[in-house]
Amino acid sequence: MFWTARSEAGEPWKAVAEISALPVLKMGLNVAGFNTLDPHQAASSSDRILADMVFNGLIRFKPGLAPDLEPDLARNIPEPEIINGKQTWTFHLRKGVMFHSTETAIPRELKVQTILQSFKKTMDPKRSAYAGGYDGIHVKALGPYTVRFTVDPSQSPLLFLPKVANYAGGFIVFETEKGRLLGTGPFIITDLADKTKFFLAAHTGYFRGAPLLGGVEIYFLPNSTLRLSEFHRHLDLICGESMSGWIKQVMGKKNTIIDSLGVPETANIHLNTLIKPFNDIRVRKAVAHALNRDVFLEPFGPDMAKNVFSPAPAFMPGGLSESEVRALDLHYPTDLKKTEQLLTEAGYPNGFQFEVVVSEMNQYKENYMSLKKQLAAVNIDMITRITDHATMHQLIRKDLNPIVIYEAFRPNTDEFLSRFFHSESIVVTGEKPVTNFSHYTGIDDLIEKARAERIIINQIKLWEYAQIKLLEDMVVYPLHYRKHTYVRKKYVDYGHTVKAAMALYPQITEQTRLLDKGKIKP
Amino acid sequence: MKIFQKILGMMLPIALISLFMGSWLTYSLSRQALDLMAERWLGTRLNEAVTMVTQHKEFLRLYGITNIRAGTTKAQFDAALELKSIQIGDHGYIYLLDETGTVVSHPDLEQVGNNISHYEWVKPMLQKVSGSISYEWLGDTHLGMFAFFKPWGWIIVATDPFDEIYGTMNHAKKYILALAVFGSMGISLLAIILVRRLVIPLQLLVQGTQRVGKGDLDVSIPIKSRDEIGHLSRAFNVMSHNLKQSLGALKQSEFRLQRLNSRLISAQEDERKRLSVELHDEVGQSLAVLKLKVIFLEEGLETGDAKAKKECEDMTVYIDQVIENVRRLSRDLVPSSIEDLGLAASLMWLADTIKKFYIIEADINLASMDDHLSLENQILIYRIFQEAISNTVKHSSATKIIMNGHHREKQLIFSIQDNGKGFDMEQIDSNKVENKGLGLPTMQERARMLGADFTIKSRMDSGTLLQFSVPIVMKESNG
Repeated sequence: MFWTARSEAGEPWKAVAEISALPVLKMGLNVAGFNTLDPHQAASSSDRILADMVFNGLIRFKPGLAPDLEPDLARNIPEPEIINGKQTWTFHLRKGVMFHSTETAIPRELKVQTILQSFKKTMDPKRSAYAGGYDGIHVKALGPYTVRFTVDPSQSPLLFLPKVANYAGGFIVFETEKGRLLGTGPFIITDLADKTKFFLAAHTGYFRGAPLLGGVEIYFLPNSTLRLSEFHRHLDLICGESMSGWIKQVMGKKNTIIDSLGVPETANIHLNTLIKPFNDIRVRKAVAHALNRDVFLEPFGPDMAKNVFSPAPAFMPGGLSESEVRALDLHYPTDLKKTEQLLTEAGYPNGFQFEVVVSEMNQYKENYMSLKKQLAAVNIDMITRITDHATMHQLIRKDLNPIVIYEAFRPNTDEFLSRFFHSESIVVTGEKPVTNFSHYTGIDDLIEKARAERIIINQIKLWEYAQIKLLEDMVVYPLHYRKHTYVRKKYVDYGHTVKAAMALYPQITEQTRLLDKGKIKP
Repeated sequence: MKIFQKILGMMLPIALISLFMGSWLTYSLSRQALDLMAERWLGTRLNEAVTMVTQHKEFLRLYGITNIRAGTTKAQFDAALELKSIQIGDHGYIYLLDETGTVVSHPDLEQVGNNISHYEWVKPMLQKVSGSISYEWLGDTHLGMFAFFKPWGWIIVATDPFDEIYGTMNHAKKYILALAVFGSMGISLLAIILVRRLVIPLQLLVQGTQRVGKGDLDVSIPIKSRDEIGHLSRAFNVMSHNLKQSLGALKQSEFRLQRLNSRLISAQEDERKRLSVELHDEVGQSLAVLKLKVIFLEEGLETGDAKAKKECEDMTVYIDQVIENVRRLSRDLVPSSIEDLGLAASLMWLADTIKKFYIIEADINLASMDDHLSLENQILIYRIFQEAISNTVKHSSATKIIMNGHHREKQLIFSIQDNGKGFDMEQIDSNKVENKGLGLPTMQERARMLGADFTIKSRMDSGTLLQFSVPIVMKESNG
């Protein structure tokens, strides 16, 4: 759904570009459109990309170098203090940070009241998808530029700091009387948008300095072939595909650079423990023994995806390594006889049939097709129904799929486990339904104890034990993590190193620029 | 052996022994301390390991993790992993055995799963107690401390090769030895330098004393310190100065005494000469006249006056005897034969006289010498012989005297030797001046006047040898 207020100026984005006399970067995304312009509701990777360019947090993940943090709207990253027996974090705001201006809103400086309002919105489940993560957090102003968070029970820096960073609920928004959300970022959402493209104009008053681009023109190109063809025709940067066939088409092309970056999204197979026959642990284990992670990797390009052995992967705190999972005998090696035996014990000696909806997005489609093929080998017939990506998201949240393959990144393990495996997050029936597709309730205690744990090492161990429990109960079969692939023309200079980005794209900042094409060696 | 050599010879062994003993003691005590430290050190690491394992086990209880079947396995996995972080030197490590002696965790992954209960040194560990062992493993001797962790049936072993435990000590052993050797050398060198610094002034004093001994009283020792040696040098300088003054006075006195002696002897000779002349000329002539008168008297007597004639004849004989005695006395006083016959003939006459008047055999062997001696010197030599023979006759009870005079190089060597009873030289030397006779000093003085070296050698019952050598001075030719 687009926010489409129109400007009296007609085509302001063109005007801005002309006035600035700076080049506009043309970027192609793999979606049909943005789901939301509200960063607190952004869930898909494309929505996060938009939020990243428009909004800031009190602190931010360093562009291209996540998960390293640095101050953003705040001047500091504080150490926690205990005041009146409670953990507090005090931030001092930069002065002179201006929100984006619109035709109806006068320029407004960022002050503490806006911070309070922004977090009030974040913590409101009706207005934010991330409200659940802010339980026990209270914000108050200590001055026009000083804000204090009281966190009770206490949280480790690992848990708390991402909540005030430029990610999900941590984005600072100013909501105008008309309900428009303004940010402080390097680019401004303009009115001009249609079904094929979207335009962000440069925020010349950006507190880190005016962007080197006049703006960013975003093209919606869900079809990967068309997207690649448009890239060759006129686009500067496109979201790539991790599929090996697609990458082969791009590799070695003149004036083209492929960027492979984290933070990777992890694909897990969630098994609904309430729906027959997956409510029987023997069936779930039978499915696990029927699968081979390496087969799931085949469609993806070299080094684009790697196997994982715990739902929160090993590169995250609390993730389990392959050797550890093997030592615990929870790696569920491919063993079709074992599958057959378990299915027989569970009363399904001849297998069974079930139906799932599948996203049209390649990586989803490939995973589901691979799953279908492997299950077929043990007489489990998975009927697939392809739908667009957004619809798939809606339907799986309505508990339609007994098995959900979900690819996601979460900024910390608590988020990961809470969103996917805490009883509150159970889809449809949970108190705060999000993405607990398995309807699992067995690790609530461990998640909560870990969340309240201030000693990081203990917190991590509790997450590890929680994941062991998930594997023991075969609630989820961890598949792999997949890096993001972006393709750019050689003259696109991001202005920073690109290794990993929480925004799931290489990040367009005020430093990003288009170099003189004539000076670029092919 | 010089002083510094003595000091060095004394100090070096002491220094070496002290240093080696100190080094050995240090090494031994250090090794004992190291034994204790190694056990404590390994014990500390072991306690650390046990604490780690306990914490992992307790974690499950504290957080109520009871419904996870793999929970304990996970805790054990974590514990084993964390134990690898315990550093025991560079080569030590922690490993785990189960109750059957199977390796549960080991830095060498190939050992994991092996049952090592067949090793003798493993058996004490399987007794489910705590303790220490030393054992051979892969060619190295190890020290191990172990504890039994009952909840998981684990034997936790902290171990380290002896090479590492004592590596530093063994390394230090070489240094300690080198320290002892070089320390001894250093101390010796220092001692040499110090002793030499101490001895150099003493050497100067010794040299100074030797020079003083040789009569050089102009010696002055430089005074470079205010210590005892400085005081000694100062006293030495004062002493040599005083000696120089005393010697000067003594020499003057001796010179005067010699001159006096010379005059006395000359006066004696003159007096003897006068007496001799008086005896010869006056008494002799008077006795000759008296004899003539007695003869005339006899001739004037009547032939019948035989008794008177007999008396005259007896008187004439007696007068002849007196004349002879006077002549001998006169000759004794002044050997007039020297002037007439020379020294050799006079000495031969002297020998004849001895044989004639005393019952002593006298041999004389003389080379030609008169041309080489002045008359005065011949008289002095004669007098020495005369005195020596007189002493022999008077005191020695000798039966034989041998007198020699011969040339040797540019000297005339004279000797008088008897076979008498001899005498004790030390007694003669120790006699007070007033108790000494004049004979020996007179001979010595005459020898000095001759410029001769004068020596007497005598032993009781072995006779006496008197010897003196006179430089030959060629007499000027008259023609």
